[in-house]
Amino acid sequence: MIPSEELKEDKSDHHGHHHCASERCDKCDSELKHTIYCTACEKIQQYNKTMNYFSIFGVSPGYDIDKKEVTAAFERLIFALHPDMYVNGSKEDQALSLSHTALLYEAKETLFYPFKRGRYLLSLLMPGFDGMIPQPPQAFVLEMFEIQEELDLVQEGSGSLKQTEARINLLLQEIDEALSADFKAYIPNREDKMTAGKILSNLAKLKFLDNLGERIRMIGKNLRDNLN
Amino acid sequence: MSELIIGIDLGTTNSMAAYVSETGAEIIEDSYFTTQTPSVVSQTENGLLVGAEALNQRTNYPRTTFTSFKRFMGRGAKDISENLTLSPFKVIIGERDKILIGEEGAQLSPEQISAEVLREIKRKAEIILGKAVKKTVITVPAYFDDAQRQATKDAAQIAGLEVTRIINEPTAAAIAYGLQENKKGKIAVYDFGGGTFDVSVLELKDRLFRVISTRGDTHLGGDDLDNLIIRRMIRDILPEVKDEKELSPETIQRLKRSSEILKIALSTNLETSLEIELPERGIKTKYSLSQKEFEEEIRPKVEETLAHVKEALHDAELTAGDIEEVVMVGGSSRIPLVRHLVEAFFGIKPHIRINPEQVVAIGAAIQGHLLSGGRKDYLLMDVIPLSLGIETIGGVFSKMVMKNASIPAKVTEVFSTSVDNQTGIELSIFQGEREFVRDCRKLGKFVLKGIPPMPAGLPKVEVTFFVDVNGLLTVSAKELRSEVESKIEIIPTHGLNRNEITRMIKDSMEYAVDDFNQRNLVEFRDKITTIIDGIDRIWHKADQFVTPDQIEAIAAHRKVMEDLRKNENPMLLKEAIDKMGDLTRDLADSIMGDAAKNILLEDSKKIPKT
Repeated sequence: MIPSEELKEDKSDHHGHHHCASERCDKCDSELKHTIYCTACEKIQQYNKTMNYFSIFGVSPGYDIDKKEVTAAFERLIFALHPDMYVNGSKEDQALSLSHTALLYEAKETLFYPFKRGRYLLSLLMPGFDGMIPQPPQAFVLEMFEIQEELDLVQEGSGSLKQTEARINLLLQEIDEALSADFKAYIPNREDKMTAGKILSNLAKLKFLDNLGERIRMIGKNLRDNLN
Repeated sequence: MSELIIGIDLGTTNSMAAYVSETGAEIIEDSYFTTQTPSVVSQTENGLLVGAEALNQRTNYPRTTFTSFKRFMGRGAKDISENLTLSPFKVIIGERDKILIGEEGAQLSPEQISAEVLREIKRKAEIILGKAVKKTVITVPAYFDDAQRQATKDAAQIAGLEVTRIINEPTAAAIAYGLQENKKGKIAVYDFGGGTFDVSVLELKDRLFRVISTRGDTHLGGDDLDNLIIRRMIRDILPEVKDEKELSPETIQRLKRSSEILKIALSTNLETSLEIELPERGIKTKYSLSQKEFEEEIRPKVEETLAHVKEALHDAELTAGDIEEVVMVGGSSRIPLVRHLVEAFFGIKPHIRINPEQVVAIGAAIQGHLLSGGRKDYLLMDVIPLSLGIETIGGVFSKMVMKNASIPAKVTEVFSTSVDNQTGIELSIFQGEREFVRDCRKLGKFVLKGIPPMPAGLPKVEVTFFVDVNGLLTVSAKELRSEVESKIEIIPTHGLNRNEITRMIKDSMEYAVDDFNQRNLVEFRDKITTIIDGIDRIWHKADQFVTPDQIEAIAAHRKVMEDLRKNENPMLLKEAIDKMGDLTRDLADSIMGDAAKNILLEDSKKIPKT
């Protein structure tokens, strides 16, 4: 079995390619505010191809999201969907409730983390994109080596973890701003291959930094342990 | 009336059941019976004893009186490499890495022993409630892994109980706390029990109780504190003992009992002493221990719990100052040093108004009520404590579902083959946080066969992990080009297999009815004797407390009960006992006095039903 990094990228079945604003309820035909649940007749909707992680929460697909809005929708939906609310429901509703609750959690998790959100959004926008993220640019990799060396020093007890963390946070902020701008340009113009390339490159950087974050976490834990 | 789903706290030291009555959630007990049961099982010449009766036999049957067996639930050889020199009973590894407890020829699995405790609780609950108990919400330490959860579910099934839901102990406590105190904000539940430590950080928001993070150690509890005292006692009174293996099971049981008494006394006294008798060693001596000495012994263990608290806060991206309340759960949280250190850490007085031994069962009962459709006014979002994943090349642990993921959780990833024309793949499933699978816990393995021959890397094998609301994992795999698929529930690499469990469930059902009636008959007859003795003892002053009519009624019913003692119908006996309970309530209340009543009321503080 190959732990192939390229293939390992998660490929969810819930990718829809168009966000359609006027979805209608399976049961009562009311217009849906959230594609996953009808607030008019309280019916969980069957999974369909147009459902995506943005439409579930009733927000339009984009890199910039309003976390408060998503959280508020999440808290409404979880009460509507959770299996504990369907203990006396039909078998069909119980099954939908279970799978949709898992879907709702996954959707929230995806929208809340910049890398996951960016990669998911790109998979909605770019036909043929299967989640494979390329290697980041050479210059960036070299910069990462430098940061790794800084962290080695911290581990040996001579560097400053705070300083390195600040450096990483600055990088994250730059990437976040670039992704926001690039997605704004790309959404209305999907033929723009150059912008798509920039997005991919920034996603690759984010992925790298996420892994680095894990290492910083471990170092932080060791430092705390040593203080005990 | 919705269906009855009771809550059961299957603890390392004590177990009990609760339910939601007309007036609120409460422990299932009445004037004569209680489901509060020491988690002890004893094999004796007179058969199997459970609970307090079993505990009383521990020095008479030191090798076959089993305590703290929860620690072995869902465990294999690798997990019990810990020091077992202070175990009075034998723990061996049987076939397929299965743990067996007891003497050769009469060994039992931890699941079977736990099932005895659960059976006893079920029986008592049925007596008290007067109806059949079939379903339960059962609690487990938050840090229990998949195998330990599965073992708990198996134990309940062997006892004839259907598990409607497994919930985490600190989460159960949070439900009870959240609904009783009607608080909002971030809270920490500090659950230091007999065998395990858990800490969970939760956000309570209107009607939504969300677990943000959880940490713990399934081998850190009151038992470990007892062992520290035992080792101190050995140093002080048995200096000639160089190796704990020299100690007989009886001596260990006696030391263990003494250590528990000392520990409990030191929660309210600065100094305590008791007489320790070790007949085999010709020792009869007074042993003293001060709270200060006790605290010196246990301080490192308590500090270990705080290290977990720090990590849980870190995982939740919070600091101690963000926590608005710390709810104390578990018997070990009664220790003054524990309370002091927790208070110092958070800078706030911990919440101790809710009985820390009962709050878990109460929370489970409330969840049972919700799951029976009895209420819909709150929702619990719990998490898995440890990451789940598979082994990939080089023994690397590739995580699929991350720890602290909300459940139910579903994660799908695509993998490929490494060899040309590979027609099958084997997935090994692990749980843990380390980088390599050798440092994680193997949950099981799983084979996908029948993939058409293709060059390496071409097959696309989609692996799906689904963690249900109980925190239990199901794995399925599908080769996308050929649509070959396979699905399994994780079968632990050790412990009972499905056939053994099915057989045990069948056995338990066959004997259940007869067994139930027989055991109840014995118990009810015993109870009638106790009640009659009790009435006779206070009869001379009864007229000071109740009216002549009441006295007459009690006397008449006393006669009825005496005659019933030979009756074979347990339900008739039970009815008579209940009737006597009603008739003597005024009498009992008056005699018990106001002071005693107040103490009792404090402890059984109920949670209002909404």
